[in-house]
Amino acid sequence: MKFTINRDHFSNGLSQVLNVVGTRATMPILGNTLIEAADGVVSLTTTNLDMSIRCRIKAEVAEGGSITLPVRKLAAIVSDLPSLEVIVECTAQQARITSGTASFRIMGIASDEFPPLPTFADKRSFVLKQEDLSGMLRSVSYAESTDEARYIMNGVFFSFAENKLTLAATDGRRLAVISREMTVGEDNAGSLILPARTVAEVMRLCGTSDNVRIAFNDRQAAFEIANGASGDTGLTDSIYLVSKVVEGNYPNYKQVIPKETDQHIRLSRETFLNTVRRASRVTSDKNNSIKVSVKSGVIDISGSSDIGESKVSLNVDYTGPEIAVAFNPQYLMDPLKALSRDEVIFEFKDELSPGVIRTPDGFMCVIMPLRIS
Amino acid sequence: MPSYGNNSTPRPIHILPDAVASRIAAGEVVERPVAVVKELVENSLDAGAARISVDFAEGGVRRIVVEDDGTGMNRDNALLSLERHATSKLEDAGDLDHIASFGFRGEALPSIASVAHLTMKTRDAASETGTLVEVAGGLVKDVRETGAPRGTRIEVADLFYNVPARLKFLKSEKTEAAHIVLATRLLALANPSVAFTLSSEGRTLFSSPACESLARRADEVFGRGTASGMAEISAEGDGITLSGLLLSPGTGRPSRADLYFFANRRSVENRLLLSATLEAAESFFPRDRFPAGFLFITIDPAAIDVNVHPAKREIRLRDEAKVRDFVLAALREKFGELSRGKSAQIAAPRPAAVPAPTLAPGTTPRIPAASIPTPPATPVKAGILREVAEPPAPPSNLHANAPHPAPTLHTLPESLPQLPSWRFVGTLSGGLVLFETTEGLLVLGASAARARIAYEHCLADLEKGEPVTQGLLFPLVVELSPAAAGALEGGLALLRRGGFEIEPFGRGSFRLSGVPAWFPVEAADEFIKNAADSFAEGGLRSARDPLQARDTFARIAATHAGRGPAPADEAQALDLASRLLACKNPLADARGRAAITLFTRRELTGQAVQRAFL
Ligand SMILES: Nc1ncnc2c1ncn2[C@@H]1O[C@H](COP(=O)(O)OP(=O)(O)OP(=O)(O)O)[C@@H](O)[C@H]1O
Ligand SMILES: [Mg+2]
Repeated sequence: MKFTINRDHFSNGLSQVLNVVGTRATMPILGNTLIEAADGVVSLTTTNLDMSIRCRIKAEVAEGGSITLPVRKLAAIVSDLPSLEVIVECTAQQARITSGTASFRIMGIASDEFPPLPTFADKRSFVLKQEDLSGMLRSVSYAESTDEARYIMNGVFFSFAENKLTLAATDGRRLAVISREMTVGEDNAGSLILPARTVAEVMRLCGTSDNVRIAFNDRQAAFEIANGASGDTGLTDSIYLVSKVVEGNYPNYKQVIPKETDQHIRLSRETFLNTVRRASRVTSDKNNSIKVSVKSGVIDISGSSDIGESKVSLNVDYTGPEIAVAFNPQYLMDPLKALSRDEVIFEFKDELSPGVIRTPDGFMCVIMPLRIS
Repeated sequence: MPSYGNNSTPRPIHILPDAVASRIAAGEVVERPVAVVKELVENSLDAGAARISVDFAEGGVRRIVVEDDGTGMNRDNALLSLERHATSKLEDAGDLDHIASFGFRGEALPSIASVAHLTMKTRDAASETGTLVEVAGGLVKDVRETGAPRGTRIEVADLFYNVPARLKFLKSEKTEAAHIVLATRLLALANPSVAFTLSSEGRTLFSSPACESLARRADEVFGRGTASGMAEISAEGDGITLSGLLLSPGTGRPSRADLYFFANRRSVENRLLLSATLEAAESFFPRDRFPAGFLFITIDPAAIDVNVHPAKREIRLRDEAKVRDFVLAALREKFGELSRGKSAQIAAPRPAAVPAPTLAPGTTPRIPAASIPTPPATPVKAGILREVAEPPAPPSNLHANAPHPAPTLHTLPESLPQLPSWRFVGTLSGGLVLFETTEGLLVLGASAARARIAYEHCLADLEKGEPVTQGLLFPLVVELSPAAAGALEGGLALLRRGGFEIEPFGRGSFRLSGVPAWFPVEAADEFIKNAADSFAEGGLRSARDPLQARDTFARIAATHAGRGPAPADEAQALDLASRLLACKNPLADARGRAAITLFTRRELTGQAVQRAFL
């Protein structure tokens, strides 16, 4: 194998796949990237067995072939090469990299030992804008459970049904849901749970333009992320990411969404966030709760702990009954931070019922209150 | 206490009238060799000795010699002292109510003399020559003049030679010797101003000059290091003085065997003192781990009855409640002080000059070398004040959200928790976190630390009964065996008091719709099952001992809450550390696993390390 490639293209490609490496001592090859050269394209693939990612970069391929090389080391070397022109020559198990006055010989592992990318019949597939997908993921992913014992909740639930894409995440204490309209053919409808690590990777790879195609079956999901038109990245084709899905039944989140909400207040997202944050400054580990008290025209958000007390007030447009509900302040702040709209609607019923933060564009976060006896 | 008599003029010995003698706790005075040692040494102490030596052979059966430089006796008193009920320490029955000397019965010498060969050599200050008396089986065999220093030397040989049944009941020579050693140590410890020597068969077991401090005495008598980790305490009030050496809070000892009590300098076994001490130690030591120390209560002799046990091992306190309350309160306070002291040492700041990382990146991949060194953490306090004092955010374009004109309220006391300013060194496998401070190297065990924090939360919630409960979106249904379900029914009140929202859900299952805010939901299922088992075993039988039930409950809950990986970065590590330091006892979790330990600079530059590195 022999090819000539632009240093920055090569480096950019490596940085796309760099995150997905395995750390098992028994499988050192998972720390390597599979490099395949053919027909003017070099493709880079990495995998941790749960997730695999591949990108393609244009190159002058003099002689096709393949090898695997340690990806972290390789990325560090390539990004630091002295000349823009990089020549890579490989035998089955080692590579020579030359750039200007620098040359390296790197030991690799033969490519036939690299676990093949899973192929699957993608029964269902959808196309949407990268910006929309990453925005939706950002609106809900903070609510994922990080507890490995509840692996079903260690990710984001995707549902394509009723001409809507709905994403949901929950850790059992709060639930974040967002949906947007899209055409979903009857035989195309379905759902999946995308693992948290894949969610993070998809958010990282999604740009602001172009589309992403999602395909999935019962065991796997694939994302084809078209490369942005922005700048000369050297990427040809889309970045391809395949991931296992979390297998199992996602909790029936619809049933915990309050049917009728008695009271609601419209608030500036940022003001609400600042208010909660200020009030929460006195909460302690022992008493991590704030009380949201609403009465005619005012919301008071107060905190108290052995550290002291706080009370921060906001004038609001409200005429309903006096109600006070306690929450973990973090659970209020998380959605307020993740959203980008200026205005949110805060809904509540009584001190035992969940509070809801909602936006008109199909987002809601249901937050279970803290009950103080 | 040997205040009685002064050093030169012994009081006359007289025979107690029957009326008094009959009121004295009857029973066997000499059950085993150690009793002889104890009686003889107590006599020496009563005689105002400044120096006492004890020697024994073959577990004391073969020979016991106690020699003192006390008042000594003249010929008449020497002979009289061997008679039953002959004592110089008691005048009438009224004296029995306020005994200030070790002896009071006039029983010890005759009892010993009746079961052994006893040789007494004694001289008081007024006599020119000493007296030598030889007794066997209770009969005086010989009395003669002899040259002798002032004081008394009593040799007891062939103990129980005439009571073979007794001999048979004795334990091994080693065991009897061990009893003698311990008893002599305790006597020496309780009387630090008297020089003591203990020897056996040519070996000196300990030899201590008069000591000014109890700690020094403990080291002399029990061996070096005995008092390390212990602090000298003293407290007074209500006519009672409590003093002694007390083990600082921490991981404690595996049994209560290292707790010794003394009442008016008499070593005693007392259930009341023991239970008060254990109760005081409760929040400072893990359960199943115990405090240790030498605790002396000094109280008006009239408030104490030593005339209850023939060997005087037990005492009766006339006002038990008063003594108990005092000891409990005083020890709680001392444990608190000591714990704060130890925490303060642990809370020492990072060293002034932060040394460059000495661990080359790559060699120890678990240590995030990139995070060393780091800028000092901004004190939280300043942050809070700034944030709260900051004016509200500018009004947004939504008119409804204009800031409320009412001033914000902030009551911020001085005691805001500070992040410790330790230098984060890194993490080790097993969830250990390392910090450096001016005092040395701190090792924090993440899961024990979390368990300790959770344990104190839980206990506080249970005590106050006002837990904060996090409602669950998806109630958890826990299925139990019929037996466990039955047991859990009985414990629901306790669980609810702890902040669990739980109710029976039919057919041995329970529905959990809320957990205490500090409790990780993921551990709930297993916790409920464990709690049910514990109820079934009676460990959580709340009706009988609510305190213990709460403690057991908190321990189980805390163990579940403690699990998890080590903190991922410096911020998390310091956060965990500061929460741990806010605990009453940050040193260990409720099961006795160390939560944080300091290796002082001294220890680190100690021999083992020096040998390895220098
Ligand atoms: N080592 C000693 N030095 C001086 N006097 C002693 C010594 N040992 C005993 N005596 C005298 O002998 C008396 C009798 O001693 P003995 O031990 O039999 O009785 P006690 O000490 O009065 O009472 P108890 O039976 O409670 O010990 C003592 O009261 C004391 O006057
Ligand atoms: Mg005596």
